[in-house]
Amino acid sequence: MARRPVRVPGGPQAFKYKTYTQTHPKPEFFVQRLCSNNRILLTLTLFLQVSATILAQTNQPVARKEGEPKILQLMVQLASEEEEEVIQAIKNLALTGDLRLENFFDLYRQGSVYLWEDAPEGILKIVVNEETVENDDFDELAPLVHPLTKKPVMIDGKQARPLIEDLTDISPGRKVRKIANSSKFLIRLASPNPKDRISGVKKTGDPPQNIDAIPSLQRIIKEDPDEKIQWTAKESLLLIRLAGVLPEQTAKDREAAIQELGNIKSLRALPRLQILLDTLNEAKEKPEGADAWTAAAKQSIKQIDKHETSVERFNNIFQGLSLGSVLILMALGLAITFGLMGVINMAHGELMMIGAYTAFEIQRAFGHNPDNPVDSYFFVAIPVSFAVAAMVGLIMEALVIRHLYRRPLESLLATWGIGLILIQLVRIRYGDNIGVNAPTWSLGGNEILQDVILPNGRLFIMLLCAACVGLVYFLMNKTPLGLRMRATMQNRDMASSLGVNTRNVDRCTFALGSGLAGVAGCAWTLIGGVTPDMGQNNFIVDSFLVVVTGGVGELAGVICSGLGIGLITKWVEPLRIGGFVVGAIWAKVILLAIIVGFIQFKPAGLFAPKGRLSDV
Amino acid sequence: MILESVRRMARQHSVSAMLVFGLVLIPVLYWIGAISIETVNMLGRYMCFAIVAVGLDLIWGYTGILSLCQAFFFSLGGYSMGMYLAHHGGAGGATDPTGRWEVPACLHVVSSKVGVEPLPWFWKPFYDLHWAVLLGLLIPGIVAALIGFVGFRSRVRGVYFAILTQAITVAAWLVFSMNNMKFCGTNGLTNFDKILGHPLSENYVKLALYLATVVSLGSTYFLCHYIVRSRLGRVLIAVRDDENTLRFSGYKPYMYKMFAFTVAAMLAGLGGILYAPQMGIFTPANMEASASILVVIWVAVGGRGSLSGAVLGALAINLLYNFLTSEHNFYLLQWKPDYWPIILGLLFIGVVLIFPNGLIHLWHRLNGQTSKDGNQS
Amino acid sequence: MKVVRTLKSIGKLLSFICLSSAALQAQKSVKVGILHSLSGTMAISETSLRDVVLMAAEEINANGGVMGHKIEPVVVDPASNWPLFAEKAKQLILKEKVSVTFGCWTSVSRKSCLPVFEENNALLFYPVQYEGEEQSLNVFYTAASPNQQLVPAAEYMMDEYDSKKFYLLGTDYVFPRTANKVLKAFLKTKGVPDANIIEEYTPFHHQDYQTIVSKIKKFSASGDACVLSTINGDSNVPFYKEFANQGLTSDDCPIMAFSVAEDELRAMDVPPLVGHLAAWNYFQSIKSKENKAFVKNFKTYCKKNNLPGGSKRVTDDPIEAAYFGVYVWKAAVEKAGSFDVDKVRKAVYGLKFDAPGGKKSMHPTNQHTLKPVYIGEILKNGQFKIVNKSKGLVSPDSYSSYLHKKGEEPKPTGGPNGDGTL
Repeated sequence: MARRPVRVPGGPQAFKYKTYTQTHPKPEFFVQRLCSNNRILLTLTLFLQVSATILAQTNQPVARKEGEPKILQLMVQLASEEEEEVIQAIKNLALTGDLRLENFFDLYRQGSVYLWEDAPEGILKIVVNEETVENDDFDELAPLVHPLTKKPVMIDGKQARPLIEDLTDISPGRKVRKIANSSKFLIRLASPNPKDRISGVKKTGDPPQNIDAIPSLQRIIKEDPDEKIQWTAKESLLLIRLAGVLPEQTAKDREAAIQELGNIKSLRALPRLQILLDTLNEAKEKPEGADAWTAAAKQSIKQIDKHETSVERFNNIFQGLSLGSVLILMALGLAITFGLMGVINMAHGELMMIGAYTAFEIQRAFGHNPDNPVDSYFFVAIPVSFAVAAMVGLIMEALVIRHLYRRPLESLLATWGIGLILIQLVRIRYGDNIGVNAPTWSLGGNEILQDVILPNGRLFIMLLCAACVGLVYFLMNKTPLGLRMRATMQNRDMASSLGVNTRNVDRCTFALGSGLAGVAGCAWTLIGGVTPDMGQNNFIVDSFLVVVTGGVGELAGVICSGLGIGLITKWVEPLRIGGFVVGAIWAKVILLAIIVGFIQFKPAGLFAPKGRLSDV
Repeated sequence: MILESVRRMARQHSVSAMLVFGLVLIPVLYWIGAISIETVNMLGRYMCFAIVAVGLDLIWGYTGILSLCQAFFFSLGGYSMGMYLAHHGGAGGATDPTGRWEVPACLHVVSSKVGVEPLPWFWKPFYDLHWAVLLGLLIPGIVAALIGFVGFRSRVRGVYFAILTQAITVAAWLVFSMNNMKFCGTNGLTNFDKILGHPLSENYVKLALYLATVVSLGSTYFLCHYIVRSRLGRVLIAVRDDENTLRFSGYKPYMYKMFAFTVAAMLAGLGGILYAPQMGIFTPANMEASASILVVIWVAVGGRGSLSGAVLGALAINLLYNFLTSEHNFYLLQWKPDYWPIILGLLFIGVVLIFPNGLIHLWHRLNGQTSKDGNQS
Repeated sequence: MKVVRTLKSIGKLLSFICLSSAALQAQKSVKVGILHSLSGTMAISETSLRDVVLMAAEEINANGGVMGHKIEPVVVDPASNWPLFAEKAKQLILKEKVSVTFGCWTSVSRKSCLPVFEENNALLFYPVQYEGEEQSLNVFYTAASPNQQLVPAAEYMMDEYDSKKFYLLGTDYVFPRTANKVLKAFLKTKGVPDANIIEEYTPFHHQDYQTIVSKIKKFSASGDACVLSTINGDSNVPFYKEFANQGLTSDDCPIMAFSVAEDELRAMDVPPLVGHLAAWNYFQSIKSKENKAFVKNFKTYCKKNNLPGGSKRVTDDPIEAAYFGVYVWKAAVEKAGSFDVDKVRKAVYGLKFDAPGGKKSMHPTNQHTLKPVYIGEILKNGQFKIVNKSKGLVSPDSYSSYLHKKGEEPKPTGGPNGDGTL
């Protein structure tokens, strides 16, 4: 904000820019200014203050080497007729390392940057206009903003609004646009935000390799506080060397890069190395060092392949477990309402939907949205979803289900009807399009080993699933209520004659099953979408499959079948048989076939109920 | 004794009355212009559903097997007929590279490669109507016999069998929805034009198809009626009521179950065969998991364990569904189509709670009859 | 408050009080049909189209109607049930005798009721981008044909992002299949080798994208890949979430979507999508006076009628196409001076008109619409930043020039004689 034109007494012609040529800002100051300007970075203040001290020590050129006038001067060259000059200007601009240029380049690419030749003295030549306005005479006026600060350009205390015809459009051609785009990443190398920095580090190593990034990369390898960024910078640098685009690069150097990429097991290098091998094979005239390259590349590919295989294997297992835990969470409630009580609850999916919509309402009540995240909402949403779904379950039980305990097949019909009603009520109330924003901590993942990323949301669901299973197990087997539940479900009349209030137990059991469905729906918002008919589309068939395959009435059965189905699906899906990749659809068909075959051998599921229950 | 026979007469007559209504009254109404050909066509299609429902009633109402793959069998029949109709469909097809076959338009549109691909082998038998009808009956029958053989032999029953059949339906739906399986993907079989050289859009063809459906429905009814009244039918009811005792008495229940399941599947196939030309399109949506549940619901609402109940349920729900999905201006109520699922849901709940034996039970009660073969609770 | 509102909506439902005062309509009226699913899986997209068509009808009525006739909309609900589309179309044409129908979303629903429109020589305005390969004289296609959306988008990825590898990911139905067929043919002409194209499909409502995202990650490791996505509806949410969660960003591998518009974004958790792209012929963020008025009117309309979402509702490409479809029909009726289908059809050909998104015109022969093409980048607020715009209007291909040799395209179908002749 200190960069706004300062009004000097003496009329409109007396505008001047307060410049920073003499007073080079200290890094701490720069960081603070950045934070106050950029609301998104507010949360990072703490981190930045820490890193600012590091930056101060290492003298990393995060702050601008050049002053603002210099940048503005360079910008004027963008208006040059000569493409070469424009490209040079972009490169020079990028090298200044001013972070605000990233946004400027975006505007430039989109053609929002203009040259204002007739600008009054002291006013910028390069200006930004994103939207024109019309005055009463139907003239198209262009309100101008500063290319770096995005503050309005002021003349006489008012925003400058020249006629659009007075501005020269300097929108770039295709070639220049590409360069402006890749220069964006060069600027990011200097960003204090690790997320931006790593994206810059990564992209400078990708084609078209940016030679200008080499000094910055080298610096990052040495000095960056984040190990992952250091490592990626090293990888990118090697990739640039591998590409062989450096001037005066020796064959030996390229060979060394190839070997080193193999040693660090760079997945990003794999396709490049393969292309290199192919081109070398096809080349009629072998360049100098070709044989050594081929040998090194083969060796490296072998190393990386090995690494990739183990990463893939690990991913498969994790993904299988993750899918399995989602399935278990989905089926857990059904294992109680259907497995224990024998109610063919076709409205189970709708109870999950209610849980998801509850999460939406809680999120709204907490005022959570992407711009203003209030992540704690989710921990409130879980119990509330449970309560709301359990309430709906209670009402269902009281009005309909209790008449049907002795007619299980007809409960299918009635609950299907309930499902239809719930779907349409929600649709009338909410319409179809609501978005539940997952809490920020659930986005992204942790890289626990090289190239093995565990997404937070999925880890959380696995934990939640384990917790729910644990709680249900505890409730069923270790509490008096659980004992009564099991007794009632095994022999209602006997339990009743022993003084158990079976009506109450029924209510509790059904509410518990419904509540668990609500929790599952709430958790679902972390990984999936929310629509009124999500239950019918996504959940109901799968949940029943899990419960039936597991064996009705056994918690262990649900866990085994859920995990089994998850692991098998994720194992089959990426398989490649000959030239045929199995893929999502066939994986599902194969899985269903396996289940059909399985039911032949275990007609009552994995953990078949014994004794009296077996004849349901 | 006399009273009993009068009642039986009344019941017999209610069925005959329905037949007269379908075979005579509707065509007469059409000829005098009271109803349009589209209404006749619509009734014809709903009667196809009724055929499927009667089949389900045979296995569910009488034999006690809940099958959730009737829609799959229905679609197998529908696809057989649909492939025949597509072969003789409208413009937009192409000659395949061998030059001997025309690739139908609906198949040509979804081919994954540029240019004309050869006609898949399994399309070829369906060029001829006789084969198409025969296969449309046989394929569901054979598939059902296979499912029944493996399922019933290993004594899969109750809910497990229902889920097993549902899994099969879902798998089949996925396969039929895939574009590269050459079943025309989710768009399904379209662009029907002629049946035996007669254009489907002509009124006389529609009427003829309608009459064929009524006759089929009548025959289906009497076939199933015959089955359930025969000795065989008693065994089926015994399977439903107490399978273990039956097995101990020396019967092999799985043979009887397989028989009933196969007959039901073939009836569903017949429904599909008649449905495709009257609908003018046949898509995999017909075999979604919910479609099979709907068949169960028709039977349950109409009256499980009563053949006329199944017919009534199928017709009533479909007519209601059709009616409620339009905007209506009743005297006091502005009906919005958004509300139909709620009414339908309430209907299902109401039937289960108030008329557990279905609407037909209500009819019987009004007639002073008690349903003898009504389902056990 | 919430309880009161819920009670109100239930009350509205149950109350048997008719609010529509059957005012004696002295004015002449003309019936138009609205054939969009209000329940079932497609309601998520189609309900908005019903709303906007009703709004257009209301606007036209307020301004004196069509040739002095008041528009009387007839709404039916085909309930996302394909055969029911044909059923309802019959009902609209034969029973209600509507002059024109606005409706359908999915290809299969259009295919389902197409024979009905052709048999009865009625008129349908179809407002959704589709796979082409069809040209019925009984349909006017107001949204994009493949060359108005797919090809420019792929070109953009090659030019701006230097993409050399393409992952074609879609839901398994006819639009993605045909779209990818066109895209592959196009990429081939640009010299992209087969090894650099992967094609993959998922079933409807697919929710688990872990394996596919892993594959994309591997595929895009080289840094010059992009995803061209034709994923439909609710599958988009888990896909983009998984994409972000496995550490991929729009810098690593941008996703160009053909089925994600503002209305769908309302139903999504947007942050994982930010920076990815979509190609359409209209965005709510188009900066023009007409568009601003249109957006404002739509929001006001939704609020006034207590529609779900109220003033938070957004406009998007199909909504605009559905909206201007009504005006195209009105203009054609007035030009023809008659409601007769054959005369109206002739009047539509070559018609120039102002749509909210700018001036457009109807093709002089092939039933489609000439439209501009926009590429938009997804913003955090669920809107698009327009990053590219075609120069002028792009002419539609009913049959893609990448799939058919010139002059060998199939003939149109339907029409007054039922054989594709006029």
